[in-house]
Amino acid sequence: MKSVLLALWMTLFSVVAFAQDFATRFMAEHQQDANLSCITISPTMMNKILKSDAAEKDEQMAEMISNLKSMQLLTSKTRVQRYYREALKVIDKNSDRFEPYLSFKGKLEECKMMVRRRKGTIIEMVMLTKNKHQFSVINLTGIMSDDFISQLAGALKQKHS
Amino acid sequence: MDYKNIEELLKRYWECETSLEEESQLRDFFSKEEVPAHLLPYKDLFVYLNKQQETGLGEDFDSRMMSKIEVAPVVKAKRLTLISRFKPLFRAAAVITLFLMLGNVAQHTFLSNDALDYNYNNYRDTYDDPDVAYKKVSSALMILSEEINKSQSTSLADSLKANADSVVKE
Repeated sequence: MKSVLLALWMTLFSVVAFAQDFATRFMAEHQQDANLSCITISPTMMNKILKSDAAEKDEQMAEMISNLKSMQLLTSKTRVQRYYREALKVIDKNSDRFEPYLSFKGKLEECKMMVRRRKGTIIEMVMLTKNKHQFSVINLTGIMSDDFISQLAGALKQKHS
Repeated sequence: MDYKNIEELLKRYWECETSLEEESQLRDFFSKEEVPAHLLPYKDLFVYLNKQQETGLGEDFDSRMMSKIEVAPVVKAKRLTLISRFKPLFRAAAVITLFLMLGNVAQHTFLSNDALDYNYNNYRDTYDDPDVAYKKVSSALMILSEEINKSQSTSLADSLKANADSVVKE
């Protein structure tokens, strides 16, 4: 009986160990770190958002959010370089999961965007940014097509126009 | 005949107060054929005890015992190879691999219908209010949008610069 329970526990553990997004993996290495703040929006909250008044007012935004299942936002105003370096290490460690999507390096800012695809669809998007004052990670999971990305890129232009 | 002495000895015998010599006297008395009727019930006991006193281990007892003890047990030397030494380690590795494989199979089985294979059970919402959460998500999406646009304009600027450089060189 004990061995059966152990087997079940280990199986469950391996399932849980496999199914982790980038932010969870990164935070696992910084559990006691008070310098990092983490905002989590779960799938349940995403559903609530879609039913909220605010979402009903902005149809375009609501449409984009409907592609998302969860969001985690990590930020830190200290140890910017260190966190950025460590985040890149996590990406490197999981290079079989993530593929680079875009990156740029400006004078004041650096940004890398990684995606994880499954059956051709983007199911996770990770954006690492750092500037002089802040390190941040935006980690989205959901069913995101390339159209979603172009819709996302166009969203800002529309706001400005 | 006066058996008072024997009766006295018997009385002390039952109270465990007799000496070895007195007990020997009792055994001698009861080994005789003529024993008064009122003492007959004790005869068998003392005859038995007398016989037991005569019984010994025998002269060959020591030699028999020693021959049994001194038979050396056969110890077979076990040859330990490098593989047999690491056998427990290999077993442990095999078990772990098996469970990881089971986990992978379970993951694909349970989550095959859903493209998303994330474990959302550990997610703890930062906000309770969907309106506040909406603001955070929309601002995060706007940041993403901004960065995508920056990247596109940077790559456009880079390609324009590269073209300009090649024109200058020509």
